[in-house]
This record gives sequence, structure tokens and C-alpha cells, in this order.
Amino acid sequence: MRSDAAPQGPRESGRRKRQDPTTRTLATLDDAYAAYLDFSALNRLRYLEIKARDIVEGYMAGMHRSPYRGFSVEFAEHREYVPGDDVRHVDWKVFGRTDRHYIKQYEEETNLIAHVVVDTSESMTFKSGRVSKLEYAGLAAASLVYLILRQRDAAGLALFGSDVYQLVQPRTHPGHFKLVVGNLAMPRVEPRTDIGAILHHLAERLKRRGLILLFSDLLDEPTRILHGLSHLRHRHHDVIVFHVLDPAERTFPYERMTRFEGLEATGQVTADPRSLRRAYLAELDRYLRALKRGCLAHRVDYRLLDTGEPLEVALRSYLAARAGEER
Amino acid sequence: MGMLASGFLSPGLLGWLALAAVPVVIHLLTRRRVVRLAWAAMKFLERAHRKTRRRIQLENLLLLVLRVLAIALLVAAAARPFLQATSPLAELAHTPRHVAVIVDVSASMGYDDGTGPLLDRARRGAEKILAGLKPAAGDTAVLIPHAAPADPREDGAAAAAYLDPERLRATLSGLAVTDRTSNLADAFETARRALERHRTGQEIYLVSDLQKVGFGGAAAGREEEEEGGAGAALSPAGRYQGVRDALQRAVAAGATLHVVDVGPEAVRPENVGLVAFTRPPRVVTVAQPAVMEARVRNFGTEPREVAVQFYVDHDASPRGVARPQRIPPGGEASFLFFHAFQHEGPVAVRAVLKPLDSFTHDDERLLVVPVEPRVKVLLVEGSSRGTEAFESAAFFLLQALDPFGADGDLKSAFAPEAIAWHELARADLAAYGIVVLADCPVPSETETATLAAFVAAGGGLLVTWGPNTDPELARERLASATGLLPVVPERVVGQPDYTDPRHRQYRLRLGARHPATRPFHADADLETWLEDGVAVGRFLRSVPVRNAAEPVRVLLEFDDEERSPALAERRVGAGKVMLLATTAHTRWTNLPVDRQAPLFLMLVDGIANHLRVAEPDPFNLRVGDPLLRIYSAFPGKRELKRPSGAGEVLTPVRLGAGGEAAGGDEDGGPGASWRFLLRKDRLMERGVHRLIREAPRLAPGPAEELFAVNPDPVESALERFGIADLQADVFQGIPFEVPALDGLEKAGVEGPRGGELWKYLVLGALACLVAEMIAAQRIGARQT
Repeated sequence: MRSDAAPQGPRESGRRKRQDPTTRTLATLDDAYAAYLDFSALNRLRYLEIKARDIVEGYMAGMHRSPYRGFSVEFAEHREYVPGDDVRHVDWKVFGRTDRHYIKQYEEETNLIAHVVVDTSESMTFKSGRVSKLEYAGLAAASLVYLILRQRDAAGLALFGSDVYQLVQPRTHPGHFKLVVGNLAMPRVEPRTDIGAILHHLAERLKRRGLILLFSDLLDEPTRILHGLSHLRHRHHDVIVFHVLDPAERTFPYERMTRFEGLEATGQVTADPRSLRRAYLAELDRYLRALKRGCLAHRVDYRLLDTGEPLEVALRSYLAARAGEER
Repeated sequence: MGMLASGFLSPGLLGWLALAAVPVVIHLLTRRRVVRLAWAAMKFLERAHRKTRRRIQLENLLLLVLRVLAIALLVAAAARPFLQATSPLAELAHTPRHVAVIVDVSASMGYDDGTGPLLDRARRGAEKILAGLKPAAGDTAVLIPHAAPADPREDGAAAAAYLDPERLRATLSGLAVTDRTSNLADAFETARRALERHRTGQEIYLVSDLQKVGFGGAAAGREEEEEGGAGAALSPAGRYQGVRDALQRAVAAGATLHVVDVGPEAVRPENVGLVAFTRPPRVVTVAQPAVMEARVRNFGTEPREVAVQFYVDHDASPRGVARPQRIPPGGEASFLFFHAFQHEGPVAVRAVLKPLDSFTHDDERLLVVPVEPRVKVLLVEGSSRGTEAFESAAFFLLQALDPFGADGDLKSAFAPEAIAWHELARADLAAYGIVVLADCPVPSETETATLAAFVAAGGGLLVTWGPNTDPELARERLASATGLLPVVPERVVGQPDYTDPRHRQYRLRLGARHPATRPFHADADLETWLEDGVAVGRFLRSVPVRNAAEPVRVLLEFDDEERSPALAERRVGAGKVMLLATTAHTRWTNLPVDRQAPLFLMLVDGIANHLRVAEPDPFNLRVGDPLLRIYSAFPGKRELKRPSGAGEVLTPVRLGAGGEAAGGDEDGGPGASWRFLLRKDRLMERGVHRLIREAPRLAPGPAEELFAVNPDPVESALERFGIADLQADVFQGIPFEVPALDGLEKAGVEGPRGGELWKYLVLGALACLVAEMIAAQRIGARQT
């Protein structure tokens, strides 16, 4: 965890900026850091490792179970025990000397290739509060890339709208983070998307089995989405779906007569939201259930991200839960 | 609504119906003030919208309609629409009606103005009112045929007719003009009581000719009659206070008043009527001329020339025709009929107006005259005869009672017979009609008891004072013990010699009006001669008896300081006692020999006739009077035959000495009397009534008695109210309606109050508001 040296300046700058969110902009990478990446928060997550649930291929040995055998086991470093770590790895000798728990980490573990796939279609720009879904997804993606790189795994990035317009190959180098974030900070908002087709496309392009982290509002037909996800699974990818939704989309809190104009040119509806709320929420609930059932069926990890929820809390709860599942 | 309703009471408020557009405007404004929002999850929204759009539209439409309706109904209610009978919604507006129909059946309703009797018109009006009722919808009706005094049998018929349309119609068709008058205060009170168990929808209809007498009551009318002209006795405020009180009670009880005028067009219809047919209160004897007087009044506005025909008994042709007289409007004329009756017993005489007019009810009157044999008068002489005949106590009385003597055709009604004082004990008083104690000593106790029984049985007793009479003993025996005398004797005052200027001369003064002194009240010269010409030197000072069963009447007074009674009268049982407090001869007064006029003769004639003639006249009664007959001997059962032919057996009731009912046995003892009394069932028919003995041989007296019943003359005053005068004089602000005779069947529904819809509209508006609240609450609950 060498990345403790993460820059402190931007964090301070970020604090300053958060005082006036209306003036926030994502024009530069620094701004992105400053605005959304709370490195102190990320540091608190640094021991929550992102592990592949399935066997994945990597460039080198790491903590992930590798399909390749015969590599020597070389001790790399100690790190402090955090709840959730496998107690088999606790170094009892160090405990005897220091009375503190450390676990040993080995170089022999293979590394992880993680592909962060972010939906930048127009529907992702919706926001009812400070943060749009796209911003939230970008920040979450950046945070996870940061964590992945910190654990010496490789992280790549794919941005898509109507098609995949940006694909950053996975790298383990810490400097790769800057490239990823740079791309996340300046997405190209596409007026339409077809998530199913995109997923099929990615399944074809990503040859080495790895971890797929999909950030999207998934506003598409569940069957098509699930079909794409199953394709990825078929290619032995471990897939995590981060379903990003705005709190307004989940609660439909509007009271006054409203003309809802569809993003991605999906028409418009003028109605009294109060009279529509129950039916809308029922539709949403039906959709989410279908989606969750499909993910479960295909062993795709599904996580709903509410943009009204603090990112740190969302990631912590998810990563802790995932780590728990691993054991 | 305009087609269904016949109008609005406040049509100006209908402009506020524009308020009903307010919910629509608000709805449209709300739709226009739309917030625009870019939305990502349109797929779910569109699906939800597709599924709910129709239901939401219907809900919105429902709420909108309910709000618009609520406002429109409230505004319409404020404008107070009402329905007419032809409206399809008339049933909706129908409030159960409870109708009391007062049909005036008093005599004036028999007036015929050329289109038939007024009662026919009233009957048609009442039928229309009843035809407008809906028994199936809860309407009720009570028919009140009204005439005064009320007939208990008719009240029963009216109660039986309640709620039963068939019987109502039957009762209505059976109505006939009565011989009675009317008292509408009683009628309205009866109607109020009939409707008091209903809380709403009470309607009182008066179907009448609106005769003024009916509103003031017959009593007020008689007062006016006695005062000699309409309006002379009572102001309108006082005269109609009774009916006004009754109307106010009815209105306070929630009733609405409706006056249906069925009277003739003229406010003062032409009518000439016989208002009285009487005879002087004198004894009528066989073959002696009797005078009868018919009085005719012109109640109309045009002078009328009329004559009067007189029929005796069952004469087919008139026995006498009084010459025609022209009577000015409001004037009165007297028609005299002289006749000598040839037989004893009661005789019915009929006076008939010629020609008859439009109101025949008062064109004929009856008079029953009791024809008697000469009345025997027993003169008991107390003073011993002097050297001259005229010095005896009875001389002047004999001359006055029988002035014609035995010569000539003219015979006095009285046959006097003088006896000496000591012969009184042996005399059979029952053979005499009148006993005169002239300057007698006070009778013994036995004689006093005999005299008391004689008087109680109907005899007349005249006591004249004189030197032979002891005031102390008279007070003790005649005044205190038996209560015979009308005065309590105190002492004799003055000097006998009324011609000696050294002594005071007492004068007579006329007292209250009395039949015995009627000539003196009627003639000023006679009054002057009596009061100034008669000198009294000595007399018995006395005071009238107080607390007597019948009040003592003082006919003449002395002009002394105490105004002591000179001639007083008291009734005892069926008879009368009179006392002259000075002599009937010339010892103490010049009354018998005064030369100015035959004063003494007139006075004795008046006294004798009064002592003999029953008062009040039992042979001539008025419609509505109770029948009361008193007999000194057991009369046995008698059948009352009414003019209509209806009969009724009457049982006599024995009366005690004090006049109280004491059982029905035949043995009454001294002083006992018997009576027939019809009090509850009064005499309601005009005409000659007969009292016929059931067993003529078992009871004394004639086999048949007659008496006449005549209608109340106040009913002849046909003057009636116009509606404006009725409002001003009688109702005085009490609300009432005057429905037209042709539109009576529509009354109650057509009238604004009868057919108002406002409460239904308010209820409808409230229902809309409640429905809107429930719908909005349900919709709101679904949205949360």
C-alpha cells in the first residue's frame, strides 16, 4: 500500500470546493480529484481489497487464485490485520514480538485484471441533487480503480454510449490512475445507448478473463442487459454490476404538475406526479426485481448505488460484504 | 332546471352560477403551470402513465364535476327555485300537507247573488282544496263546518271525516246552510287544535263570505245592534281582538293561513231583513186585542219599499198585511199587527217580508203568543173601610186593574177580587195569578209560608205599605225568614199629610229601566209628571236586599238622602215579588189621584203585567239558546218535537228550594219545582218547537206547549270585508294568502313555500362536497 503518498493538496482543495458545489466543474483532472475524491475516505478503504470471486488471469502472481501453478511463493510485506482477513495469514511471530496482528503478503499471488466499464449515455446525466449519476459513477469507478491499483492489480477503463468509444487497457502502474481518471473526468455524453449490445461487444473484445465492473443506470430492457451479462459470464469474467440510480428515480418525490421530458429522446409525459407515483414505483420495483433475479441467476454481483448516499459508505458496505462473501 | 321549476324567488342570484366555472379554471390553470423536468427513467414513467392515465382522467373528471355541481347547487339553492304542480319534480318538492278547511255554514252563506247560494261556491272551493291533496304522499285534511254556537254533533262529523277522503267528500256534499251565526275566532282555534299534532305543513283555509260579524263574533254584533249602528260600540282593534289572538296562536304553531273569498261582489250586499218580531210584555187574553211589532231594517245601500204579512197558526193566507213602507239605507221601520186571539193556549204568528229578497234567511220570523184567560188577582185589603169607598186600601187598585168593568167589549186582562185581611187564611191562592197585600198587617207564619209557595210556583205578589203594616215584624217575617221581600224594612219616615206645606214632600225618581216602568222611560212628559207631580208624605224607609239569588231591581226611588227604594222587585223561584214603599191609596201620597195623567193606572198595569209575564220570554228563543223550562208541578216526561221532525224525550229534574237539582221523584213538597234542560244540545233549528206530554192524564197543564226559535238578527248584516280591509282591520300584519278560487287545487305546490327546492339543492351540494372529500381522500391515500 504504497499509495499512501497520494496527494494531499487536492483533498484540501476538494474540501474547499465542496463548500460551494454550485461552482463545481469537472473540466480538469485536478478538479475531479478536488471535487469528489476524498482521499482520506479512500485511505480508510485501503484494506478492503477488491478480489475476484472467480479464478482470473493476471500478468503476475497475486492474491487472486491463479489458474497457473508452479510459481514460487515469495514473501512481500506485512500489513496490519483488518477484520475480514484470513487468520491463516496472520504472522504469529510478529504478533509474539509486537503484540499486534500482521498478516503476511506474498508475491506469488497472481494479479487481477479489472475492466471498469462506465455508461456515459445521456440518461446518466440526470441528477436531482448535487451529483448526476454519471458523476457519481465516475467517482465510484475512479475510487475502485484507485483501490485496485493500490493492491497492485491491473485496472482498465471502458466508456460507452451508443458504442464503446474509449477503451484504456489495464495496467498496474500507479501512474495509470491518472490516465483513467483523466478519461473519466471528460466523458462523451452519448444521446442513446444499447447496453446489451455493448456488453456483447465487450465480451468479444476482452480475451483474458478478469473482473468487469459495470457502472450504469441500466435503463434498457432487462432481458437484453442480462443477455449481455451472461455473455460476459460465458467468457469467464467475474462481473460486478453497479446500478447507479438517482434518489428521485427511486422515490419519485414530485408534487406539482410536471412535464417529464425524456433524456435520450424517449418522448415526454405531462402528468400530476402524485397520481403516477404508485404506478411508477411499481414499475421500477418490477424492473429491479427482474434485474436482480437475472444477475443472481448468472452469478453476477449486483449492487445498487444511490447517488444520494455518500460514496464512501456505499463502497465500504459493498466491499466489506464482498470480502465477507469471499471467505 | 328552468323547465322543471316555475321560477326562482331570487333570480338575480343566478348570476353567481358563474362561480361554478371556478374549479374548471383552477384545473386549467394548474395544467398550464407545468414544471418541466428532464427525466431519465421515462420507460417506467410511460408505462405507469399508460396504465393509470384513464383512471386518473376519470378521477379528475369526477372531482371536477363534483366541485362544479356543489357550487352550482349552492347558488341555485340561494336563488330559491320552486316547482309548479305540472313539474315532473313536483313529488320531490312535496312536503306532507296537513290542511284544515273551515267552511263557513253560517246563515249568511245562504245569500244568493244570482249564481246560487254562497255555500255552493264554498263547497266547490273546499272540494278543490281537497282535490289538491295527495293522501298517498302523507297529506291529511280535516273539514270544519263552522257556525256559532258550535254543534257537538257536527264537531263529531268533522273528526270522523279526518284523513278519509271519501267521508270528507260525503261530509262536504252534506253541508247545508245553518240558522246560526259565526264566530271565526272559535273556528281558527278549532283548526289550530286539529293541526297541533303536526309540526310542519300546517295550512288553515277559511272558505267564507268574510261577513264582518263573523270576525267580531255575534256578541259584538249584538252590542252594535243595541247601540244602533255598525261600529258604534267597539273599535276595530277591540272588536277583532279575539280572532286576531286565535290567528296569532295558529301562526305561532306554524300554520299558514289562506283566505278563500266566496262572498258576493258587493262589500255591502243589498238586504232587507226582519230583525225582530215581538210583543209588549203584557198578558194576552182571549178575544182582546193584542199588538205585535215586526221591525225591518235595510242593510243595503239603496232605499227599499217593503211590506210585512202576518200569518196566524197555519194560515195559508195572511191574516194581516201592514202597509208598505220605504226604508232608507241603514234605516229601520216598524210594522204593527193587531189581533184578537179567539182561543186559549200558545199561538204561533208568522211575519213574512214582502217581497222576499236575495237573502231569504231573515225574511221571516216567528212569534209564539201565549193566550190566557183573564188573570185573577186577589186583593187583600188591610185597612178597614172608611166612610168613602175610595178610602179603602184596595179601591184604587181595583180601578186600575179593571178600568173597563163589566161593560163594553173591552175587557181588562185582569179580574181583581178584593177580600178582607182576615180572609187570607182561607183563600185558595193557587186559583189566582197575582196576590196583592194592600196596607196589610204582617201575615202569620203559616200565611207567609203559603205566600212563599205561591210565589215560588210562579205567582206574582205585590205588597203595598200603609199604616197597618209593622216594619219590625215585616222585616223579621217577610224579609229575614222567607226572603220574600226585595227590601229590608227599617222604619216609616215623614208625615202622612202630604198636602201640608210645613212637612217635607218626597218625590219619586225613576230607577233602572224595567218593563213595569217602560212607559215612563219612553215618554219624557210621563217621566216629568211622575217625578214632579207625585207627592209622598210618608213612606217605609228600607234598603235593598243584598246577596239575593237574583239581584233586586229598584224601579222607583224616593228623593231622600238614602234614595230609599219606592218600588222594588225580586224574583223568588218562578215568581216575582214587588214592593211599593208607600200606600196604594191616598193616606200617604197623591199617586192614585194625580190628575196630570193616569200615572197610577199605568204603573199598576205595568206591575201587574210584569208580575204575570214570564221573563225572559220562554216562548220565543234564539237559535243557539239552551232550552230551559221550569214547572211548579210535576210535568211528566215530554217529547221535544223539532221543526225538522226530529223528536227527543225529556225527563224532568226536580229542583230544590234553592234551584239545585234534587232528584227526579214526583213528590216535590212545598216550594219544589221541576225543569227540562237542554244545555249541551242547544236549539239549532229555527221554527216552532213543540213539547208534547207523553201521558196527558198523569200530569197537569196543557197537552202541548209551543215555543218559537228565531235566528240571530246579527246575521242579517251582510256587510263583509274586502281583502284590504281584512288585512288592515283584522289580520294587521299577520301573514295570509288569498288563493284564487280557480287555482285552489294547485295551492300548496304552486306557492313558493309549498314547492321550494332549496333544501334539496343544499342537501345535494352537501352530498357533492362529501363525495368530493371522500374521493379526494381515497385518491390521496393511493398517491402516498
